[in-house]
Amino acid sequence: MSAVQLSDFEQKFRDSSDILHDALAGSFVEASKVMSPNGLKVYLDGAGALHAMGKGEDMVISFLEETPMVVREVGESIIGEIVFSIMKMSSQTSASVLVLMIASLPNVARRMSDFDLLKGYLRLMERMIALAPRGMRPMLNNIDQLTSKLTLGGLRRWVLYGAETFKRDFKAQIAYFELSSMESIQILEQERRGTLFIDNQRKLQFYLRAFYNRDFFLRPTSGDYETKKGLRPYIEYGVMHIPDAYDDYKHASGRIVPGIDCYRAVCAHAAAHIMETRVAFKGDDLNPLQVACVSLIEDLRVELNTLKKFPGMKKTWIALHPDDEDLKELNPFIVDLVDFSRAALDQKYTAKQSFNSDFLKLFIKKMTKMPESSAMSYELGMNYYELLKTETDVKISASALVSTPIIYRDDNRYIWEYEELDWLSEGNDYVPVSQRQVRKNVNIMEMYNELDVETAGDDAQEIWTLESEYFPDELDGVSLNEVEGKEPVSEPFHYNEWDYQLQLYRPNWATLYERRLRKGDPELINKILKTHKPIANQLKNAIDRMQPQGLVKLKKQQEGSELDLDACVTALADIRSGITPSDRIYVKKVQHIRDVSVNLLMDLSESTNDMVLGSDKTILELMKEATSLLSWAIDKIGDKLTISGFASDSRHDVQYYRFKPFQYSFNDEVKGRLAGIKGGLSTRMGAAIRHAGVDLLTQSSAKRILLILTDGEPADIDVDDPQHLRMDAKKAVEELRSHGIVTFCISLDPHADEYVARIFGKNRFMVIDNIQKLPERLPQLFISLTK
Amino acid sequence: MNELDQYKIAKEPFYQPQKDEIEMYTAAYMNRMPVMLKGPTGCGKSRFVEYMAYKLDKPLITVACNEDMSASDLVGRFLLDKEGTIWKDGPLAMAARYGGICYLDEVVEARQDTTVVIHPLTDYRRTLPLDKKGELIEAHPDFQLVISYNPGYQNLMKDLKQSTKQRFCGFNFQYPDEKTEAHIISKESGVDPKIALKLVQIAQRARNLVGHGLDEGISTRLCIYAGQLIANKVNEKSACKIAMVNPITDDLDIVDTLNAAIDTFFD
Repeated sequence: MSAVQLSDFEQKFRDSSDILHDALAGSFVEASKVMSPNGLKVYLDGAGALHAMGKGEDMVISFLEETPMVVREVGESIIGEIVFSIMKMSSQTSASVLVLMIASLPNVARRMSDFDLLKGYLRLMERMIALAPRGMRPMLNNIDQLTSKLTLGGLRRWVLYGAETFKRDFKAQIAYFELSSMESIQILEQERRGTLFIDNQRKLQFYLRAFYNRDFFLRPTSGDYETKKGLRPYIEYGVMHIPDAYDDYKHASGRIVPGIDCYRAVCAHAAAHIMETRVAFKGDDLNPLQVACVSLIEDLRVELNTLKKFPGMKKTWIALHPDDEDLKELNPFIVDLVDFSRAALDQKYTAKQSFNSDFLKLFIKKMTKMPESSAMSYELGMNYYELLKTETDVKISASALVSTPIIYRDDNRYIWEYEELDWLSEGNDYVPVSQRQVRKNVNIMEMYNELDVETAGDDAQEIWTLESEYFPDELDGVSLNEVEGKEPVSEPFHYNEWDYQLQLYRPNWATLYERRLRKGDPELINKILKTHKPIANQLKNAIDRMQPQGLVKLKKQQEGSELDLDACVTALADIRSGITPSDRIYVKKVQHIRDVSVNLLMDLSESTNDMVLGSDKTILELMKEATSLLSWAIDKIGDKLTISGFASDSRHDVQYYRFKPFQYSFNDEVKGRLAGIKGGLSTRMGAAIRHAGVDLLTQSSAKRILLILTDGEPADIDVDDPQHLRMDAKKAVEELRSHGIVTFCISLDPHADEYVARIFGKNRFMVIDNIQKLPERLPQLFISLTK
Repeated sequence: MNELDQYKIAKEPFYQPQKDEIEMYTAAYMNRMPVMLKGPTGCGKSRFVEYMAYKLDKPLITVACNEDMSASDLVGRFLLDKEGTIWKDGPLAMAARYGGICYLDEVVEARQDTTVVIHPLTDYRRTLPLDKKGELIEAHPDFQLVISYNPGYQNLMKDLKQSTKQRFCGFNFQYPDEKTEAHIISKESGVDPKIALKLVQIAQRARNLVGHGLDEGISTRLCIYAGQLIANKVNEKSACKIAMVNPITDDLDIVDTLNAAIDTFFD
């Protein structure tokens, strides 16, 4: 059971109604599934604090009920933020508005699915309460519509526009936030998000791979806050950071470049840098104008080198160069830079400035001589700056310099500072309990004199090993091993994990150990089989029908390897008597064989120890019964079966148990192992699926099936983002499919429909809502699946 | 020999050698060694066999293998006529009896129990027992067996047995290098060599995606289709889309990427 108990928090809710108590009990179960003990504590403390504010129980109840759903989407770090926001707003608005706000969170979280973005949403709500408290209620009533159309930045601008414009006119304010005024709709349309990164990431990844034949890392940055411009793209630690949305780019002339083309131009340019820029420049002694000149030359150098391979790419780049009309109001220095850039890329374009044309000739000469040298860009960039200084007015503010009109180019921090990609500092902070120990070899005297607790568990601070058997006095001639001995652990197996945000594998991310649980009493399983005799009898017919019959001869076939004598005689007689004979005169031989291997993989996480509602058994006990019956049935049919289970304690310790290897029949050894099944820890499904797949691949069967029996979704203590392990499990299932293994999930979580279909695919899962029926349903299900 | 005359290749097929495969094949044929051709789809395996059959002036019997094929589809079977049953040789028996090159295309598609019938023909025995007819065919001195398969898309369920594999000498085929491939496309389709080169470059974009969303890249054959359409005055971009993109994938994101590649190479 988890370390945090609801009873520890009872005193915080002492003087509360029964309704609140019920909500508390119900939400606690839900919350304990998605939160770590720490998160649970923050959650309950937060609820206690909200209760103590005395703003009514409705608010506390809706906090209790909605928060777990929010955590499911964006991770538990958000809990503290939610509590903080509610407290801040509570002095400025009524409890009923707060209830509405809290109720909006799960949906908003689903749309934004990112911690920082949801935090931004909470900050926006706080600001809105201060600016336009009357608009709050009508807006929250429409929040679904708003978030489906706007990014956070867009929503923020829409809100602030309304709040500023109708500060005093309350009636208009309410109309605006109700979305019933024309102005409101107009601004909404204006802010409507353009092309979203998240919708196009896969396309961009394909695009880059198609052209460069390697992978690049892409991350969205949520630019687009106050100004609509958004952050400029940048490259850091080899990762391309790209704005989370691009609007179609409109030239003053009315020409439109679609958002996806902007994305492609950005990616192609950044990739050109990563491929071509090899040395970083030291920019400490340069003024911003010099930096801008050197950057421009380096940008052009990498682009021109790319164009040698892919001349057509310049179309996307030139399209995003501003036209003359776009440049009217810009600083002459910038205009000259753009002029030069355009002339260098576009042969059809002649530079407006004659000094640019002359310098271009020099640049092209240098480019043919040493196209690979970044140093050339530096030198030439400095020369170009000197040239510009004599030709143009170079008075320009730093901010004007930053907002360059060529939007697809990154801010070039990549070429001015460069560091090795540092993987080690990321994600290595959690050490699982099993690895925080001291291990040493000791002799018999130390063991005898100094051992304090012989029966300490796996999480003891120190582990002592004695080479010989140890017979403590109190056990009277029985060795300690026989009483307390633990089963050995395998060598580690390393598996990749899929990072859906990067769209790449994290190499060797999860470490899996094969462990064995202590055996139980095989009689327990025999007893289970006995009590379920009626079910076994029902299944018997179906099982008999499934037993393979070997070679079957099909007579009177149109095609076949041999003539069917009877049919031939009839046909000949027909021919002689002038009747058209039947053409079904062959015998076809068909192998009626069952060639199936099955791996039944059980989720043995902590939650399997929960009692099943309306029954005196835990989920685990029911799983035990179900697997016993299934193994009996499969043993009778004669298919190859292995039974395994898994649990995890962070990515460093995924535990895989093998209860029945393929080569064992359903004997006492296996029954003993099944009887010893225990539940604990978390559910890192991807690594376990991959390992189970490896196991199945050792079998040469025509059909290989992985059956997963689980009571919840993938989760682990070192992962905040609930999507991550889901996506990884989905990827693992896809990997297995590509090896010809069919994965089928049997879920005992009544709310599983939302995610199991996404992980395992349509028609590849079944949710058993009446868990008590599991022992009966599982063998039936298997039989119907493999008929 | 008359029976096989219809299988002779009348006109010289166009084949652009990539390396020394013509000499190597000729040497293998001199020893009547069974030959295995490996390579992705549409890279010229079948064309190569045709070309060699023409050069060596031997009939070529091609069998497209499939899962439902049984041994009797290769060896032969009894048919019924009004007098009773008559034996009809299958393509393999015919080639062995009268001396021809028997080409089993995509041999992994056939079930393993079917492929074993070629075993006695492909070692020193060079015989084919027709057990139903009670005859043992001694292979004609000109007989040779050639198989092709595509290591790219076969799944774990379909593979040749080691005992089958180890009866052949193997030729690895790949898509030719850029210039050669462009030459082939332009020669086959009649399209301008410059356009042919662009077609190859687009195909290479797709080949980079193999294993990352695509099972197989755009083949030379598809490039030739595109070239033929363009030679018939079809708009270049549409030709590429219908001949090179639409057939190979249903994944919209990849279709989009390949269309972007086409836009990059064609105005």
